[in-house]
Amino acid sequence: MNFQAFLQVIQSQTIEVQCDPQDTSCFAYDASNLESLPGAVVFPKDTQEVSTILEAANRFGVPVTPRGAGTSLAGGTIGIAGGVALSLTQMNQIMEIDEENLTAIVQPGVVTHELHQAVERLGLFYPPDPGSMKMSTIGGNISVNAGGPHCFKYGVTKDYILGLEIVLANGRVIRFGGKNIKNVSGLDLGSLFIGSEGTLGVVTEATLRLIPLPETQRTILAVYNNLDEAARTVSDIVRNKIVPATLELMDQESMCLIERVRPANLPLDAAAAILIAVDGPTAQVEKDMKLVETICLHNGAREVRLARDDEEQEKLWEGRRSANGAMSQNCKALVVEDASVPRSKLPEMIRKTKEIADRYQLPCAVLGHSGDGNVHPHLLLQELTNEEWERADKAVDEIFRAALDLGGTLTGEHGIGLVKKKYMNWQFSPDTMDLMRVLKNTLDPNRILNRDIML
Amino acid sequence: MNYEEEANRCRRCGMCQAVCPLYQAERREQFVARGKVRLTKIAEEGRIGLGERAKTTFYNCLDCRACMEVCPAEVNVSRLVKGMRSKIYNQHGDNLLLNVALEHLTPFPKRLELTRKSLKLYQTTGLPSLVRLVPSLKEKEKILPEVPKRSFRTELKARTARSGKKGKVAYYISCTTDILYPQVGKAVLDVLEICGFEVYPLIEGTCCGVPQMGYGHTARAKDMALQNMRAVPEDIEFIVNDCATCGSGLKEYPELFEGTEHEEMAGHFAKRIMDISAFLRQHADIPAGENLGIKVTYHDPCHLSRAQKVKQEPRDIIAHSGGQLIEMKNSGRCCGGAGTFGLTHFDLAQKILRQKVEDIKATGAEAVVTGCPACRMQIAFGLKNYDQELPVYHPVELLAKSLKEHETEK
Repeated sequence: MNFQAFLQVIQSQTIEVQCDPQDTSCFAYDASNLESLPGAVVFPKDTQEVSTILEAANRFGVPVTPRGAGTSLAGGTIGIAGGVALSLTQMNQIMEIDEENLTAIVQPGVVTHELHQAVERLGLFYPPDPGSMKMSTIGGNISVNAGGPHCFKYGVTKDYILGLEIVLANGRVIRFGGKNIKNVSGLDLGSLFIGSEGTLGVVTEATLRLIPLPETQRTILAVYNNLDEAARTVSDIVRNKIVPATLELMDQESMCLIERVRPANLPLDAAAAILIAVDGPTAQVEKDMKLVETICLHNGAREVRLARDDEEQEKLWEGRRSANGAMSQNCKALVVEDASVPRSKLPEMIRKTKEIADRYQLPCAVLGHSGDGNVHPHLLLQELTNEEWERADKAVDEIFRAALDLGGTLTGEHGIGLVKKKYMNWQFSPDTMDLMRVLKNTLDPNRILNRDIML
Repeated sequence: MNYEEEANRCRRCGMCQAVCPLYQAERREQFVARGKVRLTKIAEEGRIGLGERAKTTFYNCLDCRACMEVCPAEVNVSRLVKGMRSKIYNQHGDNLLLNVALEHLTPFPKRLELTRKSLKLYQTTGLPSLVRLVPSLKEKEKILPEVPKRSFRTELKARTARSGKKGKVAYYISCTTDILYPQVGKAVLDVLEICGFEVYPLIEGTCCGVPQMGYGHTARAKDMALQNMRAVPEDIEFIVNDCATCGSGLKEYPELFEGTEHEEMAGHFAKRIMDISAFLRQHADIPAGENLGIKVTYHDPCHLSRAQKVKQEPRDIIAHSGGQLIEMKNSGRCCGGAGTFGLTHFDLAQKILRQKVEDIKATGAEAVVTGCPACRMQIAFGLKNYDQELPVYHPVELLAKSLKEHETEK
């Protein structure tokens, strides 16, 4: 790689670039436990600048790692040491909200929650709501095809992308899709790029699909003495043709940790609790909520708390939202995993996860999106010795082995990143891996984009 | 404090991004706590030196502590930033202007009074309109409110103290109250006396030292802290103050003296510090007053609402005075004043101020109330600049007015 030549090209333009380690150090990490110091950070203002940067990087063989808010839990923004961090945070404009076509056109650096607020003011709804939505960017969401609690009912990021503008590794700009709801013209390139974790190109603009904002949302907290009853409840709700907006599961350890730090009046001796939110037209929601309550009790819920207004609803969610903080305060490092299994296998997956964590003597709290089978085991590390990290690594290996054995997948929404790359061979056959590599090498022959990520 | 250990508690979740006013304006990681905590970590580990770029980063902080409120790991960002600034100052020193201001001016009330007099003279001559001809000073000049004829300390000499049945409280005189808003100090004395307290103004005290702590001049800050602590008689149970920033600074003296012989003394001092609104709500029987019936909105000063957890009390004081409170959106969002930040980072501070003015405007209030003179200066400046000339008051001013009007009626 000829880094100096690359830098000369960038510095001859008006592109903002920082090279001092006192600056680049602030772009060496994300929310994973990994780090790597970039040689430069660039802040393009528009598509043209992104194109210039990639063209030069490609010409001089300089590795590039795009990043938005840097909240990846999988090390998805950790680049090659001495390479270039491509920060897209300066491209943060919502260019248009089209109330007639129910679409929005945004730049990649728009923060997910800012988009939520902007469209909700107009009575519209952009459902994807990853846990980091107050910080994460749309560009990052597209790169990992992010989900969130809402995705059981509303689908994931992919379901809301109508069109993309992408800068390829050689600097060329391509556009496909647009405001058309029906559009089968050409190959479906969206499926190729969405979720590709920045390995195939850099998203510089997205046309998003919006839907009308549901009139009302109500929340129930149902408490159980065993996991199977909670899981049966979920299946029963679905069987009764109700599709809740969210079905969030907290296990006993999570609730105990939350209570210790920020008391939210959660039961400490219960095996699990689920937060069930139903949304839609007010009359329908009231009806559904009554039925949900009956189903919970029928399936053995020992207690059901119904939020009667927005304030009570907020209180119920407060506990769930403080889970991350509660865990952080009870450990020195947190390993957050993201396996996903078919919905029916969720109780088994949780039991296996706990059994594995116990065997490696690691405290483990599990949160899950029980509607879609996505589990987030949180391993709480207390010593940070090499021996403890090794135990954590082995436990994670076994957790993924268990998830795959149950017909599950390595990641529901966080992405493969650097952290889970080694498991790719476990999930995919050599032929499948080959195809992915062929696609990668065709689009990025010099392997400058996220060289170490995923593949 | 062991800075490295504190920095290592950061989980890099990035939640600080969602609330940091500077990050929201700039969207570069150096502006947010996570970036600063990282720099602290690697500087403490010896992986990097603290040069000009790091200095820029550590000074791009409002100390508004919004990050600390949401941080899951509860990292004390404020202390880390101040600690690093202190290390940078010890290594590189400061420029002449700052050195004069921090080492030779603000620590001495008499020199401050001279400054007030020269500012007053400056304002009464035609000079300001001349200064505004200088493009770089055109906007900045207007931040200075009209300088009063007499300082609070001067007015105090003419005032006869009343004795009170409810006991004696000390009153810490902030520099801004002293030389810019003596009417606030007067209101504090009036209200406390009406409530039956004897007030002991700490004339022997000096600036709280927050500017010195903020610029890393720790040794000077300690001298000033000692002077302030020694100014308080032993038999006094409470030391009230009317400046959010001074109050939080005074409460942080134990951190300043951590591990030294004065730590205990600082602890004893800090425990007695109370914001005036909080003191009145918790320890005073406030008599009924006139119903002022004014529509106001309240700005939560960072150093009151977050640093001292005083949120409800100023609102109660407003309600007691018959003020009709219309809450603004994000009342706890920093106004961008942040001590000298509003001047040293003028354009950035203006972006933040503009949002505050918009939020104020949306309430339709007739006046703004806030419990911090620095916020008051910044907000009044913003209102003036964006053609929303509303008066700005301290809650205790409303209360004094309400109580005194009631007394006259009787």
